[in-house]
Amino acid sequence: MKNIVMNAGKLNSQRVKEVISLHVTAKKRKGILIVALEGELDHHTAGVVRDFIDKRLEDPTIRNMAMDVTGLTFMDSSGIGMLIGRYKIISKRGGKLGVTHTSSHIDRIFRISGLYKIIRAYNGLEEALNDMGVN
Amino acid sequence: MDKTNEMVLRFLSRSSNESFARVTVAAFVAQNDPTLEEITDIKTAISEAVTNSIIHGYEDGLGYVEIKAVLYPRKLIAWVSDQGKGIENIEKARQPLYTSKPELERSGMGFTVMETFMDEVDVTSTPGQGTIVKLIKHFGSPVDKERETK
Ligand SMILES: Nc1ncnc2c1ncn2[C@@H]1O[C@H](COP(=O)(O)OP(=O)(O)OP(=O)(O)O)[C@@H](O)[C@H]1O
Ligand SMILES: [Mg+2]
Repeated sequence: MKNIVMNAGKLNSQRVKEVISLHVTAKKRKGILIVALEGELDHHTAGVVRDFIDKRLEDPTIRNMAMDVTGLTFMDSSGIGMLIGRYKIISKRGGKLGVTHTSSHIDRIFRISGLYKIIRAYNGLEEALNDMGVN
Repeated sequence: MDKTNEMVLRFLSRSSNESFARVTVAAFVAQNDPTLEEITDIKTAISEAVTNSIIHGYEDGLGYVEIKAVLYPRKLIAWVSDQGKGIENIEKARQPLYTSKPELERSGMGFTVMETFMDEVDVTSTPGQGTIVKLIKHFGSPVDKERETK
C-alpha cells in the first residue's frame, strides 16, 4: 500500500511539470532545422514555440524542418494553427516539413485536422534527414 | 442514473489557466477509472472550449470562465461557459476550418476536435451575453468517430 501511494505521488509531480512547461530545442544540420518538442502544446505555449522557430527560420540557409515530437504529451487545435503557420514559411522556400515519433494522441490530432497532407510522417529522424537531402 | 459527484471551477481568462483547467477536470474524472485515452480525450475537449472562451469570448480581455462537471457512474457531463461576446452563427462556427481569427494562426478546428473526442457537444450562445459549451463523454464505450477532413 505504502509503495502505491509513493508511486502515485511521484507520477503526479511528473505530470505537473509536464503541464506547466513546454520545452523546445533546435539544431541545424545541412539546411535542415531539427526541432524537438517536449511537454504540452496549447494556446499558452504555442506562441513561445512559434517565436522560437521563426527566429531560427530567419537563417536563409535553412530550407527544411523536421520535428521530433517524442516528448510531446499533449496538443490541441492551437498546435494545429501553429504548425500550419510554420508550414507556410517553409513551403514558400520550397522546403519540406516533417514529423517523427507521433504518439497515438498526436497522431489523431494530425489525422482529423488533415495535417498529414502538409507535414510528412517519417519513421525516425534518419529517414526524415535522408528524404530531405542529408547524406 | 444518479450523479456520483459534481464540481464547479471558476477562473480568470488567462491562458496559463488552460492547462490548470484541463488537468483539474482530468483529476476529477479519475475517480471513474477512465482509460488513458478517455482522459486525454476529455483534457483535449476541455482545453478547446476553455481556449475559445479566452481567445474569442473575451478576446484576451479579462473575464471569468466557469466549468461545471457532473459525474455519473459511466458518464461525464461538463459545461464550459463564459460571459463574453457570444457567437452570432453557431452552425457556421462549428464548421471545420471556420475561424473568425485567421490572423492569430487559428485553424478553425476546435469544435471539430471536441466533436471527435467527445460523444456529444452542444453549443448555446447569445451575442453580447456569452457562450455555454456542453460536453458529454461516456466511459467504456467503444466509439471511434474519427474522421478525416477532406
Ligand atoms: N466562447 C466563444 N465565444 C465567442 N466565439 C466563439 C467561442 N467559441 C468559438 N467561437 C467562434 O467559433 C469559431 C470556431 O471555433 P473553433 O474552436 O472551431 O476554431 P478557432 O478557435 O477559430 O480555431 P482553433 O480552435 O483551431 O484554434 C471561432 O473562430 C469563434 O468565432
Ligand atoms: Mg478554438
